[in-house]
Amino acid sequence: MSDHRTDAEFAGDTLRGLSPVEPSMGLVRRVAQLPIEHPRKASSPWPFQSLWMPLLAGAFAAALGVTTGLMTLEDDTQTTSGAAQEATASEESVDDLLVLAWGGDSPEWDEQLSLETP
Amino acid sequence: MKRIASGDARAFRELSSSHLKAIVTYCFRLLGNHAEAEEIAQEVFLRAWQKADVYQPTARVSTWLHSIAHNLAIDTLRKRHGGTLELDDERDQAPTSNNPAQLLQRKAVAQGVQAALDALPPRQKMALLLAHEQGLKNPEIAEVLGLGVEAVESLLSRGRKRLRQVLAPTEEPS
Repeated sequence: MSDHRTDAEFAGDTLRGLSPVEPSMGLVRRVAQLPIEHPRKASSPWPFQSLWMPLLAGAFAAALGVTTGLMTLEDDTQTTSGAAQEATASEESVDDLLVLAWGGDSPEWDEQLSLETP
Repeated sequence: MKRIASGDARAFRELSSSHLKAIVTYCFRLLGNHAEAEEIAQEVFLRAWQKADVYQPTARVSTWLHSIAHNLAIDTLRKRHGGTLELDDERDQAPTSNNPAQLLQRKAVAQGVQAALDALPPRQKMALLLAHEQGLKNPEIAEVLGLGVEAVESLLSRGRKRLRQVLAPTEEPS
């Protein structure tokens, strides 16, 4: 007598017919004991693993601060001397413009400029 | 799972009592060894307890547990085969003279079915077990096996045909 079941039905009937595998009592007991034998780490209000972690982090931050501070100081010195050079250059260019405007050096104009400048 | 992630041991016991049998059965079908199946099942539930906080609620808990069990079982099979295991269907071939149909005549039906399953390429066997014994849907099987749904459908189709050929070789296929 031929079987008119589809392949899916045949596989389903066949595999459902397999006897289930029962876990042993030992396994059931061992699995039930897992939460006791492997307690989950409770969340602590202290966010660091140990006292050394924040101390190390603090020391690192201080070292970084000192390094950055020193580098910034060097930059400031360079910036100040650069600004002074720029100021001299701009004063010279003003003088050049005055020469062009008045057709020669005018010490009076210099005096007037220095008076107007706060 | 949220309760388990917060350390609720009672919730964990409820989970294990609902799924332990299915996981042991799946591992046993893949490995054919009760002791190894139990060892893996224990590891599955240990991981479920320890990693409950990484569980994504997009998947059913049973799918997640089967995924862990599947990966552990594959590792065990690989160790057995000296570090390599051919999961693909390349070794798909006609049953040999030592085929499970002959075993079926000599042994009990359940043993014959198990032998027929063992004769299938591993992925076909896994897909059939997950679909018909464990009751997972195709997208869930795809997640466990790490494949696309279409690949799972193809595996199931070929696996069912092959199982039928092996167990009822004289019968006209549907």
